[in-house]
Amino acid sequence: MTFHGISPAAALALALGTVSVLTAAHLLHRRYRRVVVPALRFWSAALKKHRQDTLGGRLRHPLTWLLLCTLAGLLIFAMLQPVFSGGWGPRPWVVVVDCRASMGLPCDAASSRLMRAQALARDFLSRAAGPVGVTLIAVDRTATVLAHAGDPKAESLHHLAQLTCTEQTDGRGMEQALTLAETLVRCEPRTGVLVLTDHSPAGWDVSASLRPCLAVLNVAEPVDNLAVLPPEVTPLADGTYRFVVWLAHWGSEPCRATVTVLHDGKPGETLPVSLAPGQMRSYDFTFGADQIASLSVRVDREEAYTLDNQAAPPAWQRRRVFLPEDAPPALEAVVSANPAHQRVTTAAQADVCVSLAQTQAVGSGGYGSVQVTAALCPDEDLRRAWMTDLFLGSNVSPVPESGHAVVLLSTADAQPLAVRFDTAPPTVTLSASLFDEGATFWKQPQCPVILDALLNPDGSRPDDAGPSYRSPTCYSDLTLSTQNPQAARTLPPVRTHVPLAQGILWAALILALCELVLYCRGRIV
Amino acid sequence: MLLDEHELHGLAPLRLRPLMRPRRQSPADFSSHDKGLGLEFADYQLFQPGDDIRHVDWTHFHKDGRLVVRKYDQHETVAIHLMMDLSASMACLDEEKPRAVKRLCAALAFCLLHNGAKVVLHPVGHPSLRRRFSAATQWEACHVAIEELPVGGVLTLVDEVRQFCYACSRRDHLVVVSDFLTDHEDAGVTSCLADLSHRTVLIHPACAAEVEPALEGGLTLVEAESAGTASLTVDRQVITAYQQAYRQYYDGLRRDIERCACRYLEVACDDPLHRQMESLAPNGVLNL
Repeated sequence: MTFHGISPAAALALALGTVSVLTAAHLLHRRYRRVVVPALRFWSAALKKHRQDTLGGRLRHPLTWLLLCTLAGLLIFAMLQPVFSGGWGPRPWVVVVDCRASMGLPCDAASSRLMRAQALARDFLSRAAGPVGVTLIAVDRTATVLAHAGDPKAESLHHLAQLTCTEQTDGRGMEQALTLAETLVRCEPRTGVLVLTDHSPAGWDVSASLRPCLAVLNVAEPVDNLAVLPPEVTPLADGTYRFVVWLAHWGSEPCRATVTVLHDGKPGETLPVSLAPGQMRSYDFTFGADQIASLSVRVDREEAYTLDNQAAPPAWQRRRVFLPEDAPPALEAVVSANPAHQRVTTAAQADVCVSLAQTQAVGSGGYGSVQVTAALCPDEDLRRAWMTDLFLGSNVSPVPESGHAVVLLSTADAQPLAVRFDTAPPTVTLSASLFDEGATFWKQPQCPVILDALLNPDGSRPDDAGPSYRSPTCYSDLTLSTQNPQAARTLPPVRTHVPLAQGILWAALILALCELVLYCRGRIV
Repeated sequence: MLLDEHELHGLAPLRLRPLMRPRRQSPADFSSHDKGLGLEFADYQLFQPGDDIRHVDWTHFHKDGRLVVRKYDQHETVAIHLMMDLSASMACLDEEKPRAVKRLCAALAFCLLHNGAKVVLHPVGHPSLRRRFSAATQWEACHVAIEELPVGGVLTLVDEVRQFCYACSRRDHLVVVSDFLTDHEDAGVTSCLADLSHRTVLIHPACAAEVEPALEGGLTLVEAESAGTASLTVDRQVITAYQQAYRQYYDGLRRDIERCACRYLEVACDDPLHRQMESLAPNGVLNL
């Protein structure tokens, strides 16, 4: 049993203090007011008649003290917030949040990918983790454990809210985070791992022990926020296995779906489910030992997409970008940091080509602002936000104008700084002065956002690409636990989590009511 | 002053009717049931050897030649021992109770003295304060003596009643004003009353604070005389049980006393004096 409330030492001190106060009060209460009476024989007869002839009468005062101490003990025990460990506790979770530079890119007008990841993780902590905290790992250049499972949930939420994007574009952070998660899974086989990232898990080296516990949520995609979390396979006493499928729904509207258990890929049991916004539920199935190896799960959502745990990890579509050899390092860094972009070596393979305009510099005698045109960003408010603190140096080399070009960035005097030619593939020509040492453009935090918009000429996902974006954004691999039932035996039995502190408080309330009744009946004092 | 003039005026009409049958022949104020030496002629009786020759009726001898002696109603002086209990148990729950007892005893003494009886003040537990008053003229001294009696101490009623049985003559009356709460068992008080029989009246002054004590909550009860303690929480049920035990005790005491041909009277201390005296003298006659 672990405690997640006040420290045991504080609880012990509190209990000692409370018992001392109760005992003192009890003794003081027993030290009754002295009254001189003519004779005790009448009172003795009363005592003999009403109190002393029963066991309750003899235990009247000790029972009062005992009940009060029990009540105080229950309340202090509830303050400890005890949680059963092992098979009786809630499932421990490891939440990995990617904080690399690409997570700072906006996923809509109001939030970035990291903000979405924070919101999802916050909801997950609130709903799935129960009273215990989760192991929170932030990934940038390296993996950093921000909160341990034993830490209070409030601390985990605090660290989660403090997460910010870093300038790191790559590194061994995710690899280290997965290694840490694997270590935790080895310590506690029921541990689930949730990774919130905008990087594809295709190239990850996920060990066999980690794969059944891993759920990856791509926060870069416009997902409808339905996720299948790693299921659990639990052996039962009668030799069968319980197959628990967890669904989490982060959408804003209720959704209906059908959970289908596949036997060797063929549909078997189906279960229609309905999930309210922000709900996470588990669905139990029971199978024999001979069936458990061939099980898989598919969730068909009526209005959205299909999740199939047998599907391969999603290969997200990346925009191929061609950069010239002499591309400035800042531009190369921005492209390589975004997992949605893939740099190619030839223009023929690219979805978009980037060129630099090395024209004669035009001296302006000072810093000039960079204007974002409506062609690049139709939203005026967002455009103004982008233009904040974007300045160029004194020597500006504008892009030569052309009749077919669409001006995306310009100077204050309407000299183009970035234009797009609707060739095949589209070509985006950028002014070299944007990446001069004297320019502030590429140094500002909104630079990756603007460059992402420059390299994405349509400004949004194409409509015909819908099915690709509705491809499984969350997957689970059941191959290990289902193909090896013996391994499932190592999983401890899982019980529905009962908030122990809440139960203790209910017990204390019932005890208090019993004391009140006993007091009214004169059984206690 | 225990009694004011108005109260004394109200007590004056009360008369005393002694219940004893005295044997010793001596002139007194009250007419005896026996015939003997007195002032009023009662009957003739044949002369017997040993009769006083002075009482021979010589006129009757001359008429029929037989020696007869005159017999007269015997008059006696009644001595009433007023045994007052002013022990600690009388003063614990109601501080006014000792004064009420003193007023009652003073009223009794007033009536007794003004009806020609002798009064022996017999404060229980204080033998040195025992006083004897023989005439109505000594009422003031009797009043002062009663008023100055100390309150407190341990009730030694049983011992003193036994001592009274041995020491006093058989024609002395005994009036006991007490709560009869002694260390003895219930029979202790009444065991010594058998010899006194009709010559004894026991008065129990009861006050409302004893009948229904205004006590509640956790209390350590201390017995006034023995200092014994008992802790309990007093509630309505306990009070009811107390009252049952209280009534059972005094009802049993009344039965035992009346079985001994003694009289038991209960007087409410909270009542005014005239009402207390009405309960003792229903028809204006003190049946002591």
